[in-house]
Amino acid sequence: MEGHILEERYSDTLKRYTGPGKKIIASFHGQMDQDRVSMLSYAAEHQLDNEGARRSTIKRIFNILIEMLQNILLHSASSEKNDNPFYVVLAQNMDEYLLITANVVRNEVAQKIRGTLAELKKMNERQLKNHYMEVLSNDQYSVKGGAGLGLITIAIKCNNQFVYEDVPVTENTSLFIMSTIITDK
Amino acid sequence: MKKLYIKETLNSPKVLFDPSKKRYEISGKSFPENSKTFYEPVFEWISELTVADADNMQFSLTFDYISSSSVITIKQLLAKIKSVCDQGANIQVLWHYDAADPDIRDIGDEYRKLVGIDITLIERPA
Repeated sequence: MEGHILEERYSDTLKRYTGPGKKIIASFHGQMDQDRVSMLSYAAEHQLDNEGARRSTIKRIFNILIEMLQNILLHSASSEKNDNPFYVVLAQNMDEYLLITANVVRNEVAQKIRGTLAELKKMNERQLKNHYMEVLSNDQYSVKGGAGLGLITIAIKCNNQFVYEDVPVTENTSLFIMSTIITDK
Repeated sequence: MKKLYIKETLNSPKVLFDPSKKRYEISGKSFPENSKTFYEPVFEWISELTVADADNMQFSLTFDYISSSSVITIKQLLAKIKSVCDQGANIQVLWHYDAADPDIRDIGDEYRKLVGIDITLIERPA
């Protein structure tokens, strides 16, 4: 069932960014592992370079993409190492780039991420930066190895232009979808 | 002091601490799956430093990219270096950044404030 919803959303996303002024720059659907993080980040970087994106924009996208992919790596609904299906789409819509990722997480994880993102969304640039410094000065890793700095980094790099939703998959799991918008400036 | 060499990979930087050549460098992209595990040998190497060994040592850090979990680990690494400085060693930390990449410069600047260690920021031509 989870595979079905994930594939459906992936295909919808690809369709949404096909048409005049729109373009899919890179996309992938499959299982997540660390090699995938490297492979997809470098592929996206290379592709953006070919597309003539500004170097500073490429760096920002590379940065956000790695944080989004590493979040997926950290939060899988399955305890099996090789069972973390996800998708990622890097699309262009006029002068904006969109990075969309989705994977299946446990409901309590979705709730926690949602709560953190809602808090970040209320902050302005200065507050985000202060919050970043505060978390960095505490430097405590969570059990999963993250420290919450990843989501703050994403929020800063995309100037807080992100949206998220979670779609119920089973009683205990949801498909967590996150989209960020990066302006080529 | 032993030589420490870790080969660069797609997601982890090269580490070269070579006392015979007085070269102490970390360079490349840093986004390993587990940054704590990756930097463990570096922490161990610094733990074994005496003040005499470390005096006038120059650490050269050149990152093209640092993920958020690596940002924390590298901060802890700098705090470890600072503890050797606090014991009396004169250590220089050089933080190289690409002119087109103010984010990496900013991270070096943040470390300076948070760790209280003297870091020289050096711009590389774009």
